[in-house]
Parts: sequence; structure tokens; C-alpha cells
Amino acid sequence: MVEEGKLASDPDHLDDLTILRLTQEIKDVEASKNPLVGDFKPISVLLSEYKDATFRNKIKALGGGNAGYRPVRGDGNCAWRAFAFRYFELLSKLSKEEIEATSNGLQARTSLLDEAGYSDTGYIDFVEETFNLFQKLPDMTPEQVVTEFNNAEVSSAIIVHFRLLAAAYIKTHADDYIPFIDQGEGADIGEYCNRNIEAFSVEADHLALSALVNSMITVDLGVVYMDRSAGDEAVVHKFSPVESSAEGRPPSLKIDLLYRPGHYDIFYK
Amino acid sequence: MDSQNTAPAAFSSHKMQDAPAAMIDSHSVTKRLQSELMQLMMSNVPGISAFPISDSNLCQWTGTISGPEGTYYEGLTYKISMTFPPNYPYHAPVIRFVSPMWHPNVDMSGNICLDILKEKWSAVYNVQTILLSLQSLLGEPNNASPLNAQAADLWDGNPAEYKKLMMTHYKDIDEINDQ
Amino acid sequence: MPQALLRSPGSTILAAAARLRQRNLLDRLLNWYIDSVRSHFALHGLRAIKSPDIPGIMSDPISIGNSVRRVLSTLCDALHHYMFPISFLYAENSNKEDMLARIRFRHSLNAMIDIALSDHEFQLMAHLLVEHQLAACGRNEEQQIVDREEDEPKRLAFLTGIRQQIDILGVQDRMERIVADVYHTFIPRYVSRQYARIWEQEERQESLMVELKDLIYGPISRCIATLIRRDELLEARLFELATESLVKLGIKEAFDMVIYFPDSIPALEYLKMCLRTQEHRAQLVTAFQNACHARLLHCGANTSDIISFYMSTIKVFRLLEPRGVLLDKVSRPIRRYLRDREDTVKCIVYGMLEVEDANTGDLSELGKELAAASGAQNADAVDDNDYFNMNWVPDPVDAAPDFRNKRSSDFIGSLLSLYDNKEVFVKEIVVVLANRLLELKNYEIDREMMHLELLKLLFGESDLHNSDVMVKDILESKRVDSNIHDPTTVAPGTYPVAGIVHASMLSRLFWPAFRDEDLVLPPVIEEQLNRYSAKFSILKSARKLTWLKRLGTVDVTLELEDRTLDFTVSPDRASMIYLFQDKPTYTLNELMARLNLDEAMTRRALGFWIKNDVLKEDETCKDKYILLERAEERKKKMLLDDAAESSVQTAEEKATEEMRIYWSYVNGMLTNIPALPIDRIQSFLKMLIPKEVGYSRSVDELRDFLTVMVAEEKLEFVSGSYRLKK
Repeated sequence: MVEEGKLASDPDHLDDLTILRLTQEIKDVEASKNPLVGDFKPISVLLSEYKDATFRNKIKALGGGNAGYRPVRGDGNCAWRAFAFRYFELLSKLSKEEIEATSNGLQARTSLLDEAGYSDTGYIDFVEETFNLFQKLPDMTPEQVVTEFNNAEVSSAIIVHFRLLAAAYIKTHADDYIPFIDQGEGADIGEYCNRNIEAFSVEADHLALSALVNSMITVDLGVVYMDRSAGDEAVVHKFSPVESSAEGRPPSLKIDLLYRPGHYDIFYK
Repeated sequence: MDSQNTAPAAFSSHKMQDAPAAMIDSHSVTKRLQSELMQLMMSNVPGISAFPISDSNLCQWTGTISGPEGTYYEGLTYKISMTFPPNYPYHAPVIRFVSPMWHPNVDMSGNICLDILKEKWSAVYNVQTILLSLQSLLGEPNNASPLNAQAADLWDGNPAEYKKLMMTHYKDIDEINDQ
Repeated sequence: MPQALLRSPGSTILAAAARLRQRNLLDRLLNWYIDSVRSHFALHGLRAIKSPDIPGIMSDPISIGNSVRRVLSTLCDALHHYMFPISFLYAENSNKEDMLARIRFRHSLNAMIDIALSDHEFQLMAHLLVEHQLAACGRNEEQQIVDREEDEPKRLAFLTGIRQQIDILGVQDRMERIVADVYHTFIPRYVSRQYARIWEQEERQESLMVELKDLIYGPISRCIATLIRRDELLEARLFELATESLVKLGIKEAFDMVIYFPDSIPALEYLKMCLRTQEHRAQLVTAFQNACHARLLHCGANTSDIISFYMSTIKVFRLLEPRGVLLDKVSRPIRRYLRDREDTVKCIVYGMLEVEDANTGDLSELGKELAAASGAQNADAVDDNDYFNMNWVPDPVDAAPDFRNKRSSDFIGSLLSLYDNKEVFVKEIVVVLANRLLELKNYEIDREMMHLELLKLLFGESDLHNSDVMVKDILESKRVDSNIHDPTTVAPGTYPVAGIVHASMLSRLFWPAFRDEDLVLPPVIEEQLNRYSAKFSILKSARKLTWLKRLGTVDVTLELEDRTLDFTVSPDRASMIYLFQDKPTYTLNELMARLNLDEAMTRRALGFWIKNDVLKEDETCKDKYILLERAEERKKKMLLDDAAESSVQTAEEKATEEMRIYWSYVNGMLTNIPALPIDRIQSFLKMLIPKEVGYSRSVDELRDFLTVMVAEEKLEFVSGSYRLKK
């Protein structure tokens, strides 16, 4: 018995597969308490979570009525998943032609990936998954989009696609971004993208969101910062694409995220 | 002790029932690895190779890496193991040297310190890029954060001693295979 | 020594003998006499029986008969002489001791005679004598009955003489052995000589038995019974031997009967009747398999011949034994061999589609069978679970454990079951059908549609779905083509297309892979194709045609100075000859560049025109070609392989490509796992190769492939496992 116990607790004796499985299981157990993309909740639910006056004031200021939020699992991909889900949820309410136009617009942006030096064999699987969803989208209800995004395979692939788009945008517009990159941790653009954007499960920062919006062209993003900072209203950061699509075709989408320190959810006004 | 041993199993059954959606379908991992294998087999890059160790579990591979020309490792061949997580490629595989490897970024158990296998992992990497990165690591170690301090010191300081010590640890791949 | 010269002993000698008898010394005298006789016989007797000219008389029955008679008479004389003194020493019918002494002497004489007769030369002569006598009873090589009625008494008299001498010498046993030896070899030989390859007439089979019976119960047994002691069962034994020989002959000839089927049906019916024992069945299987290996299953035989032989085998053995157990056994080596032949699938598919091809031979029987089978599917199936089938019989005991009764005479089913899956056929069918459809003019696809419908019954709708689309493509093409040529549909911006240009619109995804290299067509044709495309895009809005310029056929009329020639050729050949309109000579490189063809294709096209005396290679300059405006005398022509250039990747090419993929897997596998047995390699390949590529090889096929790799020194096979050769 002693011998066995020693084996089990000695990390050197666990093989790689077991270690991976155990880590993954622990993560999964935690995560499984929350779905990847949760159900819509009215703002009052959020209010009930906080006792602190600053938060309560800010939350109240967000508005009542139809306002609400949709929780997203906090696994390091939340901003990306929140963005991607909302993107498709909004699209699912549009006409077939509009969806097609958006799809074509996004398809055209795939060239960014090539310009940034990604090999097509590397990204094709993920990009395909996105356009698979586009294909199905005209016949889908918003509820089905929720189900689709709770399929890790689908949403992970789309997240990778979007991450790569954002990273590619930074790489191809290095001059615009280099001043913002923290000089202390290696000023290299490639290194930055690799660590902060391409790497899966690394949370999006301000730069990443800006690059994402710029790479998508058709999205205006607002992030509501729900923090302890002074004031009765939450600060809202707005991201708009530098380029804009011609004459509203494809249509512009307005996505709002709710930021609480360390985590993003989807915000509905 | 017993409870410690059985706990993971209990976890896993719980997880399977409650959150099936959270799991990446292992079929898609299999498919992905199958197509990576195809790509690797067809590109046939000299000096690197890898293959699943069994036909029933595609998540465990064994690989071989030849030391690049013009490095201490030229002409030597090393065996590695590759273990792919169920959510590959979103998470990095675990790679370690099976052959004893004396190198600044490899510890005595064969664990490797390579950024793309850790914090810089991205889903666009694949077996081939990993193998190529490992191969170039043999010629260009990261001596700033060594796992093997002695090797890191000798790398630039005393090439002759480096080569000597490295060779005392080296085992021919046939010898490894026979074990 | 003539008998008359023997004189009786004188009285002194007789007295001396009586003295010896009184003193009980007569025994000693007898011993001495025996010794003397032995040495005398050894010295003179054995020499006397030697024939002077053995090799010379062997072929002559009469000399042999005389020689045998002479030897036997010499021995009879000797016997008489040696016995003569004894009759004086020991009186006949005297006391017991005398009798014993006489017997003793007689025994030693017998031993001497026996030694004399065991002489090799005598044995040979005796055998020949008996054989000639037996042969004289039956027919000779010219199928004439030699034995005219009046001859027999003469021969029998001669034999009676021999029999008497044998009785005197007391060597009946020896003679019986010789006779038995002879008839055991003679009868089978006689049967196989007389009755070999007589299969056709039914009556012949009947009369054959009567004739044989007459012969055995008549002259042969009379002849034998004269020579040796008669035995009641002799005739029956001889007849049994003869019928057995007939069966053996049939077994031996089974292979030829398959070749001559259906002419050999009467003989087969007879053979069926005679095949009674397990031994016969086993012999039949072995003999047939051996004949197959020796005469059929070698690289000199055409695959189509093997297949049609196999079809006949099925018919023949179904006739011999409807349950199919024998068929199952004899066809195994053939099936195994066919599986290893590269072009088996091709031949079968060509046969089913009734494609005539010089390389694959004529197997159009398969096509007819296909049409017939669809009408009467399963009509004669034997269902083992049909409890109301009163004709049910169990499988014979020699059925192989994995024997499954199949539908009788279903060749196509049997041929398809050669391979584990039907996919190989489907692949080939698609290729062949694609070629056929592309070769069509005027979009007449009735025949192909009929074949396709029949094949669908066989392979199922889903597997041949692509082919359906292919056929529909051609139908649709016909409609579109006539629309394009319709003068009333002129749209702005388009020009009428010349009536000679027709196109087939293919749905790319459903056709096999095409060689997609481009070809430079003559500008006039390109212009027509562009017009065609333009009209097509109007007819089918927003769809664009991509031309596969290497496919299709061109009717060419060449108007040369002294002759006009018509050809139907492939586009590359047509384009090539069109170039010569501007300029009479081109070099190989020029042609390759102008046509955008590779060297092999260019040479093949050149070969075609050279063969038809339209071009020739410049005698002074290699790889330079000249147009023959005036026909030259026929010279030694370059005979290039004019195998019709298949426009689609053949299954063979595909297989090579697949093997290349498999090899990289095997290589990768063995680089990382040092040694693997074949079943591990097989299961790796099965599991790891993506479905899009597909891996459906059997272990045997894999083994063949690995064996080739071992031969190429890429692999080595050590203690049951394969490893990379270092």
C-alpha cells in the first residue's frame, strides 16, 4: 500500500498522458459549472451579486427594462468567445443576403493571414469552421447559435480564427501598434502576438480588441468597464474600425461587452 | 491513499454526465492528428519523424530527431515522446526526450523548456513545427533560462568539455529501442 | 544335349550305389552330386540360356516369344538331365527316405532354375512377351483390331506351350507375378492410349464401356488364363482395374475438358458418374490444381484467358458436383492468382461493359452474363435454411470449413468475390465508363445507360451514384449542345459556333481525376471554344466552362499533295499535325513547346503520324520531323506502342500513387518503432490513413508490397518483423 501511494503522489512517476488528463479534468470540473456561453439574464441578476455601492450604482446606471447580460465561461478566452458569439447571434437575425455579404467580407480578410505569414495549412481548419457556421446561419435561430457555441470544437476553432485575424492585423500594421507594446517585455511584434493573441486561453487586452475590430471591419465594439473606479456610471470604451465598409454593405454590427476585472461577459442594452 | 487514487476517476465520470458540451470531441482530435500524420508522412522532412505508438490511441506518439549539422548534436539521433491532450490543438502536447539528453533546456527526466510548448503555444502549430522547433533548439538553446545550468555554462565557455559531457550521456537509439 | 543321348548307368555303377546305400553313405553321394550339378549349371547352364542378341530382338514379338521358349526349353532339358541319374539312385514310390532325398534334390534344382529365371534379361523378355500377347488382344495404335479370329488359336497354342514348360519347371508363381505386373501397367496404359480425349459423343461413352468389357472378359482373360492358373475373380479384377483407369484418365483430363467445354459435356457426365470415392475427389482436386499451376497460372497466360478458364471451371465443376465443394477447392489457387494479377479488375470490368480491347481480350461473355443474371436473380439459389426444400442434401464431408454454397454458375458473383470489397471494381468501372463516355460522339449513351443499370443491380445504387451523374452529364450536354448550336438563340455579344464543335459538360466532382495539363490548340479551334463558352455562360447564367483540352476526339482530313487522308484522333495529335500546315519541319523541342506537351506525349503523337506515313524523322537530324507531302515508299517504320492514351488516371496509376503514400507511412512507422510484424503494420495503416485517401488492402497485398520493398533493399525481414534496412 505504501509503495502504491508513493507512486501515485510522485509526479515523476505519472506519465504525461495522466498528468494532462488530470489537469484537464480539474479544469473541466470547474468549467462545467458554467457553460461556455450561458443564458441571457436580466440586469437585476447582476445587481443581486453585488453589495458594494459603487458597483450597484454603476449597474443601476446601465439601465433597466430590457437590459441584461449573458455570462461566458472564464477560461481565458471569454472576451474572444463573447465577441464571436455575439457576432453570430446578431448575424442570425439578419437576412440571408446580409449574412452572405458579411461572410464574403470576412472571407476577403483571410488575405490578412497570408500577408502576416501564416501558412494556409496551419489556419485552414479553423477558418473553415467559421465559414461552416456562416453556411448554416441563415436557417438558424439565435437559440441554435447558443447551442453551437457550447460545442467546444466549433467555438474554439472560431476563436482561433478570430485570434489569428487580430494578430495578423497587428503584424501587418506593425507601425501603428509598436508604440503601444510594453517595451520591457521584448518589443518584438511577433513575440507579442504569439504570447498574447495567438496563444489559446490568454485573455484579450485592449490592443487585441482594437486589432480584432480593425480586422473585422464590420463591427463596432463597446466595452463597459464595471470596476471600482470613482463615478456613478461605468466607463465605456468604444472601438471602431479604422477602415469602414462601403455604404453599409455588409451591415455594421454593434457588440457590447461587460468587463469586470479579469472577465468579460456579453452585455445587452 | 486509496481515496487519492480513486478521486480522478470519480471526477471524470461526474464531468462526463454534467458537461458533455465542454469536452472537445475526441473524434475531432483523432481526425486532426490523422491529418497531421498524413502531412508529416507526405512532406518527409529529413531529420525529423514521428508516429503514433499504437493504432488504438492516436494521442501518444513517438518521434525521432536528428541533431542539425554544425551543432554539437550533428550525427546523433534522439527519441522523444509526444502526448496530445484531448483538446489538442487548442492546448499544447507534452513532449519529452526519451533518450538521455544533455542540453541547457532539457532536464534529466527529459522535460523540455521550450516557449512554444508552454506559454507561446498556439493552435496553428502542429507536429511538424514542433519537431522543427525542437531540432533547432538543439543548435540554438535558450541559455538565459536553463534547466541544466552546467550545460548552459559550457555551451559557449568550453565546447570541448561540452561535447565530452554530452557524449557521455548519449545513448544510441537502437539501445533505447532495445530497452 | 538331346534326350536320346542319355544312357542308363551300367551294372557296376548301380552296384556301387547299392553298396553306398548299405553303408548309409548315399547321402554323401547326393551331396556331392548336388554340388557337381550346381557348378555344372553355373558353368554351362546359365551361359546356355543367355540370348545372344537381347537389344536386337526387343522390338520383335516373335523373336521374344522364341527366345523365351528357348530359355524355357533349355531349362527343361537341363532339368531332365540332372534328374536322370537320381531316378536310378532313388526309386520312385520307394521308401520315405528316398522320397525325401528326391525332394531335396528337386529343391536345389528349383533354386537353380529360379536363379536362372530371375536373370534381368529373362525378366524383361517375359514381361515383353506377356505385354505383346495382351496388346495383341486389343486395338493397336492404328485402332485396328489385330487379332483376327483365326489368329487367336495360334497365339493360345503358343502360350499353352509356354505354360507346359512352366509347369515342368514348377515356376508358376514367378509367371503369375510377371503377368500381374504386366496387366497392372498394361491396362491403365491401354485405356489412356485408347480412350484419351474422347469426350464429344454421348454414344461413344456407352460403347466404350461395352467394348472394354468385351475385351477383358474375352481375349485378355483367355490369354491370361492360358498362361497362369485360372482364378475366378480374374475378370472382375481386370474390369475393375479398367474402370478405375478410366476415372483416373478423366481426372487427368479434367483440365482439358474445361478448355474444351462445352464440347466435353458427355465425358464430364461420365466422369461425374464414376467419381464415387473420396480418394477420387481428392485426386481430381490435386490433379486439377497441378495442371492449373503448370499450364495456366504463370506469367505467360493472359489474364482474360485465365478469367475465361475460371468461368469454364465454374461451369464444369458445377456440373460435376452441384453443391460446389469441389469447385470451391479447385478454384482457390486460380482465385489467389487472379487476385495478384494487376489487370484482373480491368479485364473483368471491360468484360462486363463489353469493351473490346486488344490487351484485355474478349470477355464479352461476362456482359451477357450480367444481362442474363439481372433477369433471373437468385432463381437457383440453394437456401440451407429452407426447411421445405425436399431436395436438400448436406455438404460432402470433404467440404472446406469455410465453404459457403454460392449460387450455381454465377460467374460475376464469383469474380466479384475475388476481392474483399467491391470498391476496386467500382473504381475501375468509373474509370472505364468515364473513358467510354468521353469517347462518344453524338451523345449516344443507350448502351452505357443499359450497362450502368445492370451494374447498379450488382453494386447498389449508392456506389455508382457518381456514374449516374456522369451519364446525366452527357444527357444534359446533348441538350445544352443543341441549344448552343440553335441559330435562333443568338444573343448579343456572341457568335455562332461552328457546327463541328461539340462539347460534353462534366460535373467535375463526380468524374475521376483528369490529367489537367493544358494543351495548346490551333487558334481557330480556340476561337470556337471561346464562342462556345460565351454561349454557354448565357445559357447557364454565371457558370463558366473550363475546357479539358486533352480529352475528346477530332475528325481530321489531311489534304496532302498526292493524297487525302481521314483520321479520328485525340486533340493533341490533331493539334500537332495542324502545326505542320504552316511549316513542313519541326524539332521535338519546338513541338513540345508549341503544344505544351511533355516529351512522352509528344513522341507518342509523333509515332502515330509516322506510323501512318504522314510524318517522318529526318534521317540526317535526330528529333527533327518532316511532313511527307508525297507518300514515300514504305520503309522500316518506327513501331511505337499505340496503346490508346487513356485520358483519365487509370486505377493502376492510382494504385501506384496510393502505394507511394503507404510507403511513406511504413517508412515513418519503422523509423520510430524499430520492428513491426505485418499485422501491426496492417492495423496501423487501416487506422491511420485518413478516409479520404483510404486503405483497403488485404494483408496478402500488403505482404506482396513489403516483399517488393525487401527486394529493393529498403526493408529487411528479421524474425517475423519488418525493419528499415540501414
